[in-house]
Amino acid sequence: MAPPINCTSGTNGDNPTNISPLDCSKAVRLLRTANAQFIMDMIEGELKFGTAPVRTAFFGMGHTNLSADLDQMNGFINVANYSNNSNLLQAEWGSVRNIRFLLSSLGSITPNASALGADVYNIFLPGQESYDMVDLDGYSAQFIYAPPEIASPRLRLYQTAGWKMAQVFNITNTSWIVNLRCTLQVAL
Amino acid sequence: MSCQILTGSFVNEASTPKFVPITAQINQFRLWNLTRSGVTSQSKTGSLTSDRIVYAEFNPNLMSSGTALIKQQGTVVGILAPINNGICAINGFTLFDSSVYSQGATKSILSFVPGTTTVFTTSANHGYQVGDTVRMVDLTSAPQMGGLLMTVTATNGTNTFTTLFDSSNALTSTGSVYKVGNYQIQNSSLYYPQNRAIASISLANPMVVKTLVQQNYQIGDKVRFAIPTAFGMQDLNSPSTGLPVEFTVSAVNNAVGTQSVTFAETDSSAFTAFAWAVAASYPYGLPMMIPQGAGNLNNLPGVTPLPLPYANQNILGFATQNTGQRGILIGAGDGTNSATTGGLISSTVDAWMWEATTSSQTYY
Repeated sequence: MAPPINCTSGTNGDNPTNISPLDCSKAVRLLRTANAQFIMDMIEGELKFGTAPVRTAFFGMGHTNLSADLDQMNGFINVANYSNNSNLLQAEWGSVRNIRFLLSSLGSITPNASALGADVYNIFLPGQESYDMVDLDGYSAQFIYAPPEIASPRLRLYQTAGWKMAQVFNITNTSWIVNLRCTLQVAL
Repeated sequence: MSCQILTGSFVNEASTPKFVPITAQINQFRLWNLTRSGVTSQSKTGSLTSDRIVYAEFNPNLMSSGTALIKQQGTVVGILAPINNGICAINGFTLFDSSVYSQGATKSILSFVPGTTTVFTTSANHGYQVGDTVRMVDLTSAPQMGGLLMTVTATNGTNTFTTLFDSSNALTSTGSVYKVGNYQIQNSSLYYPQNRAIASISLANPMVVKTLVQQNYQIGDKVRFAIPTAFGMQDLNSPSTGLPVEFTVSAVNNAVGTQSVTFAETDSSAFTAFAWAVAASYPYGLPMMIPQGAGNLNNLPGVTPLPLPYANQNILGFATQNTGQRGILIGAGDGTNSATTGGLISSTVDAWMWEATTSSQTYY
């Protein structure tokens, strides 16, 4: 399990608070002190209007509900303002300090778990090799669709779709992965 | 789709809800109290007893969660007891699926008594059982307790309950509380063992740590500590340089109300005292015990350890094994259908028999 860190430098009065640049710095400090390695290289500044360099970074994986709060943060750089967009991921929203945020609608939420009873958002910050994946050769996640000709060849009444996998993820060093917990400032 | 009937039996713990793990969808559940019906079974001598629920039934599609259709014995005459038909409105049956978050009704907290353990008073009958897991929120004068999960260690059966939270540094407050689970079933996390918030740490040799929620750790588990500065006892934190400090669990008492982990190799006598932070320190991170390595045992009903290929492994076994559960929780009370103190399981230790009609879908 990743050690949880509560955001405490936000201004919404909850515990954890909304995410702030200082909280991002604290999380990165914890990881770097444990000698966790960054995931992404720096993006150097270029002579392009409206762009900025991006620091070497850990990925911060969170829920898409965080997007508005990230937009409000001082120093937030949206992906559109990166000086080079050649290595962007589709889920990437932007960066603050040494964190590049990847958002998904499947991001982790702990319902009603803050001091004021609000949803708590878990942002996972893994360093390099903080977790690994073990799978049987050629047996990672597969989506299998069987059309009616195969699923019910006699009358072709139904089709099936499903998935199977033989793989498992494992945290290899809990010092190299952090769960940054926060609540929202911008209400849904 | 196929239907099947599962059967089983158990002996309950006194005044403690019982979780029966059943992975298939439960369409109907029946339960018999053999002991109080006069049947000797499972080393429990039968004792036909007046005014006790001896049969209960539940259909999740037709009945409200937490209730049961019951048959309760009247006054015993000779070797027979008359049967009364009715409903047990509280502490009946509750289906549980760990993949679905659920929480109980929000109850208002009127106050609490600050102390080394904390007694909360609610504005109405809370209905909690010893062993239930509850979360506190919105404590206006004691915000430092907000968001914490705690195990209920005692109740008066109506409007007070106790937890191991050390509130010596807190001011009494109004607030809210709701139930999110029970000590026998995992809440919100599919993987095990979980981080645990610390209730208290002794200054002694060996050091004893109590947790707000039963921790289910085992002897031999390795843990680290993360203690924010506002809580004192920085001695347990890993240093900024060098290898992180790990502690080996030497003894565990998972009984509800004790919830302690002992570290025989740690003498905390000279450490800075641990104390829950005052409200002025809010907001802050929580003092946590973080498992790093684990054996291959747990106390979760129905979660069977994966077999080990080799002996003497420190495998952090349940970190890679999905410990998600489905099943049914049988409530506890006074063994009658009383509207305020009722419940299927009572303070006596009885032998039970159950039958579940289930359905499962199979593709091939």
